[in-house]
Amino acid sequence: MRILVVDDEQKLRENICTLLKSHNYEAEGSSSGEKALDRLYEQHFDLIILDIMMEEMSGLEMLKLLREAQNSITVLMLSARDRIEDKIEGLDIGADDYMSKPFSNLELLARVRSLLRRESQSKSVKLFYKDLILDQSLRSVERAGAVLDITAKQFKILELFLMNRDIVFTKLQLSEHLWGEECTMRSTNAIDAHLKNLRKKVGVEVIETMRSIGYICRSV
Amino acid sequence: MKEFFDEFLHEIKTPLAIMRSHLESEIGNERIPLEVRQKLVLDIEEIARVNHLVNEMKVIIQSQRALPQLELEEVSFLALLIDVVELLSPIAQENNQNIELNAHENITLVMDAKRIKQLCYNLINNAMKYSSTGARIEVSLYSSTEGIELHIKDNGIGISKENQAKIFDQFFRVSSKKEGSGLGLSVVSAIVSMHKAQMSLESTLGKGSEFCILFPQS
Ligand SMILES: Nc1ncnc2c1ncn2[C@@H]1O[C@H](COP(=O)(O)OP(=O)(O)OP(=O)(O)O)[C@@H](O)[C@H]1O
Ligand SMILES: [Mg+2]
Repeated sequence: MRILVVDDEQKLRENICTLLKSHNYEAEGSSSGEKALDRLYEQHFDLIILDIMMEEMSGLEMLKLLREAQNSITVLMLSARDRIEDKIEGLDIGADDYMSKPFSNLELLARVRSLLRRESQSKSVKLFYKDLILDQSLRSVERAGAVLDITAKQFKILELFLMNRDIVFTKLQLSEHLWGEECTMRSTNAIDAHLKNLRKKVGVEVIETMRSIGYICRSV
Repeated sequence: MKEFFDEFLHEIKTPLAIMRSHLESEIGNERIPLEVRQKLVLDIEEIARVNHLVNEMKVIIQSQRALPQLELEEVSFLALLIDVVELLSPIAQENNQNIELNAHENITLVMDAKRIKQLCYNLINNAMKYSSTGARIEVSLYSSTEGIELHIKDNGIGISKENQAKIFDQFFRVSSKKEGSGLGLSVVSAIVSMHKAQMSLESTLGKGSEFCILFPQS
């Protein structure tokens, strides 16, 4: 999957590209709306991550031009602040999703994944780990042919691990992924209990503990 | 002045997010010794703690605006409560505490769900924190003639009359025995006022406390 990151702030642009590449996406940066439009001419991309606030051509202007040219590529807008006006305007012009800065790595990855999934029109996507099968569209988990009784949160954790093999997640990342930033402080301990319950159901070997660091699911 | 605060808090959040993202990308780097990475995890948690404080300040400042920015949507209140209780119940279990949830199923409310979740989390977390092991925490939700009522009741240490007036003040804490910053209840009152709700407290020292929030029926 090819992603174009358009932001005139070099540090942020490179950060996002590095993050995406480390998760096996092909990512490329553009420092302005004009350059991005040129690149889009030359090359197929599946998704654009587009900053609203840019010096020369703003993200909103660029998006407007794109949509006027009947280009329906999926666009994730970034804005500097929780500005509802920007959000509404962006979505009106035809952005597919919107995120305000600063955001966490996990949040960005989750949005990118869900946008790309939406793009590939919700084919039944299955994730595997040995005899464990997670069906993203049925939202069910099977092990050795038997359907497991799994809660929504447990599904969400398992999905995260199966989609991100060999990547360590800290308890903080996991609790933010499940409950949001608002209610995660001092409750990272609860995550251990939730993981313990999940591992009992799916098999302890699926998710490995890295002591005082977090959890990981290795590729088989 | 208010604009200045928004700007200021944002300027704090940005470098925090950058630091955190740098550190997080090294967590799985096996060329870095394990002990060092374990320390990085603690650093990340500290960064998140500061970020959390900033977010709390943001909510408090927001609530003092004439028109606080809320992301309103109609939400099933029970589902939201189940979510929070699910998060906290393993911790309660560890302390042999029991969270009892009694809620009418079909109550929905137009609210900023993130904020209300934070409110419920802060109150239930307090109820657990300021009760001994074996305590019982009752969370109830029902609609009455006056509106939608949320009660969070514990049989914990209770709060003296004198302190009841102070606990909603920023940074006020009765004692520093437990971890905390003393902002939790200020955030709760901010969220209550942003939703045009009312809050009351009944508490007896040594017996327990009950926080009640009345939301106007939408
Ligand atoms: N349910 C309760 N029972 C007894 N005392 C309470 C209860 N809830 C709050 N308090 C008292 O009120 C004080 C302020 O509560 P508040 O939630 O604002 O801060 P905190 O819990 O100390 O820290 P944090 O910011 O982490 O929530 C607490 O320190 C505690 O002394
Ligand atoms: Mg508190």
